[in-house]
Amino acid sequence: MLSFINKHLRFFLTGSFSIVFAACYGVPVELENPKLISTKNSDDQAIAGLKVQLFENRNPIDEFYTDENGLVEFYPVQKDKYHYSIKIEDIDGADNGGEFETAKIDITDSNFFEITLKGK
Amino acid sequence: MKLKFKLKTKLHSIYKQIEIKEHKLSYLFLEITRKCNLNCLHCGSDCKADSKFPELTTESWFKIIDYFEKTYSKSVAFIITGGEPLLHPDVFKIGKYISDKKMRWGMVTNGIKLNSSTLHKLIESGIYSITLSLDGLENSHNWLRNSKIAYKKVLIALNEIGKSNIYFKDVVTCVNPKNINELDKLAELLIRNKIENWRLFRIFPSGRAKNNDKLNLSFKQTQEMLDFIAKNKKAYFKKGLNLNLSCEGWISMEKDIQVRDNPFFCRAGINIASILSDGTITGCTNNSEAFHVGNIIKDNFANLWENNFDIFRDRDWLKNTECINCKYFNQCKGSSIHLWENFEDEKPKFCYAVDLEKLKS
Ligand SMILES: C[S@@+](CC[C@H](N)C(=O)[O-])C[C@H]1O[C@@H](n2cnc3c(N)ncnc32)[C@H](O)[C@@H]1O
Ligand code: SF4
Ligand code: SF4
Repeated sequence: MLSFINKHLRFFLTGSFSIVFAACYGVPVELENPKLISTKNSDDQAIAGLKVQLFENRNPIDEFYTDENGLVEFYPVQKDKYHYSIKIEDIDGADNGGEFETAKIDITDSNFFEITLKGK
Repeated sequence: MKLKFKLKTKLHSIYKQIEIKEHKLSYLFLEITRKCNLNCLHCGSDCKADSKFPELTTESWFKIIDYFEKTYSKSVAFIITGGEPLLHPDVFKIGKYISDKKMRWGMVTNGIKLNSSTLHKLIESGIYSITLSLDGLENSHNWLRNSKIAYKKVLIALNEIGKSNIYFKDVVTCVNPKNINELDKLAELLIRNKIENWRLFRIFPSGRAKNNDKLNLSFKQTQEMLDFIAKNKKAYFKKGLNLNLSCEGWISMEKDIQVRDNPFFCRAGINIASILSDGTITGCTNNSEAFHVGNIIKDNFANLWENNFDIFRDRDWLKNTECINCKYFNQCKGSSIHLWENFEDEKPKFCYAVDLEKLKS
C-alpha cells in the first residue's frame, strides 16, 4: 500500500511513475519497476516450467521460465509510449502437472501479475 | 513561497518518509578495486596505481552477488566502481555473472582503457548503464586528471560510448574554477557524441581534494553552475542531452526543479548501499568512515541493513549540529551524507542553500 501511495506521489512530483537515480559516484539506474508474475492452475496450485516471453511493441525481447513456486521476476526497462506484453506457454506437455492453454497479458505499470491458466 | 512549491515540498517530505520507512535496497555499489591508472588531483578515494588497499577476491564478489540476489529483489542494480574498475582483471566476468542472473549492472570509468574492444566486452557482459568522467576541455581535463593523455583517451571513450546502444549513456563533470567557463563547449561535445545524460557537481573536500583550495568552486561560481543548468536544461534536452545537477546538496523546491529531474533526496542507506574493496559496508562509496557500518566478511548484511543504518535514516546525530537551528532543517535534514566527516562536525562541508543565500545578502 505504501509503495502504491508513493508511486502516485512520485508521479505528482516528477511527472513520471518510474525514477531514474544516479548517486554522485554512480551511474543512472531506474529504481523501480520489477515485474512479478505468479502463475496458478484452476486449483490454485503453482505451475513450474512455463515459458514466459516478453514483447516490446509485439517483438519478443526476452524470455524466462517459472520456478517451482510458479513465479517469474523480471525487470523490463519500459520506454514511454511503447507497448509491453507477455505470452505464457506450457512447453513441457503434462510434465508440470497438466497441459495448459497459452495466455497473453499486457504489462502495465503494476508490479504484480497473478495469472490463472486454464487446463487444455 | 508560492503555494505550488509549498505543496510539492510537503508531498516530497511524505514521499521521503515512506521511502525511509520501506528502505528498499535498489542500488548497490561494488568497489571492486582501489587501484587506478590515474592519480587525479581531486580523488576523494585517494586511489593510485600502487594502492596496497586490501581487496576481496573475484570469488568473494560472486558470493556477494549471489547473496544479494537471494536476499533482495532482482531489481537491485549493481554499480561497479573503483579505483578504476577496468583495471580489475575480472571486471567482465563479474559483470556477466550479474547479467546472467537477469540483474542489471553499470560502471563508472575514467575512460583510459575504454576503446572499441573493451566496450564490446562490456556490452557482451550485459552492461546496462555507463558513466564516463569528463572534467573539461583538453587542458582542464588533463590538469585535474593529472595526466597528459587523459583527454585524448576520454575522447575515444566518449565516441565509442556514444555509438553504442547501452541503455544509459552518462557523463559526469566535476565543476571547478578551471572548467566552469567551458561548460557550453562541453555540452556541444556531448551532444555531438550522442551522450544522453550529463551531471554536474562540485568537488568535495575529501581524500586528495581535502587541502587543495584550487579545486573548490567559490559560492559565486556555484551559483553560476546552477544558473547554467537552469538556463540550458530545456534547450539541451531538445538536442538529446539531459542535464542535471548531481544528487548532491539540498536546495529549495522552487530552485531544485529548475536544475534536477528529481528533487534532492539523499538515498544513501535508504536505497543505496556499498561494499568497498576490503568488504566494508556503508551507504555511498564516498561516505566518510564515520558512516561505515560493518564488513561483509564477518557481518550479515540484511541484519545491518535493518538495524544499523539508522545513522542514515533518522539522522538523530544532527541534533548536535548547527543544522538543527536552520529554517530549512525539516526539509533538508542535513543534506548529503557525503558532506559530513564526523558526527561531531558543526555543519556539512558546504551547503547549497544557506551558503548561497549568504552570497545574495
Ligand atoms: C572515484 S571515481 C571511480 C571511477 C573512475 N576511476 C573515474 O574516475 O571515473 C568516481 C567518480 O567520482 C568523482 N570524484 C572523485 N573524487 C571526487 C571528489 N573529491 N569530489 C567530487 N567527485 C569526485 C570522479 O571524478 C568520478 O567521476
Ligand atoms: S577519480 Fe577515478 S581516475 Fe581519478 S584517481 Fe580517483 S579513481 Fe582514479
Ligand atoms: S551520500 Fe551523496 S552521493 Fe550518496 S545519495 Fe547522498 S547525496 Fe548522493
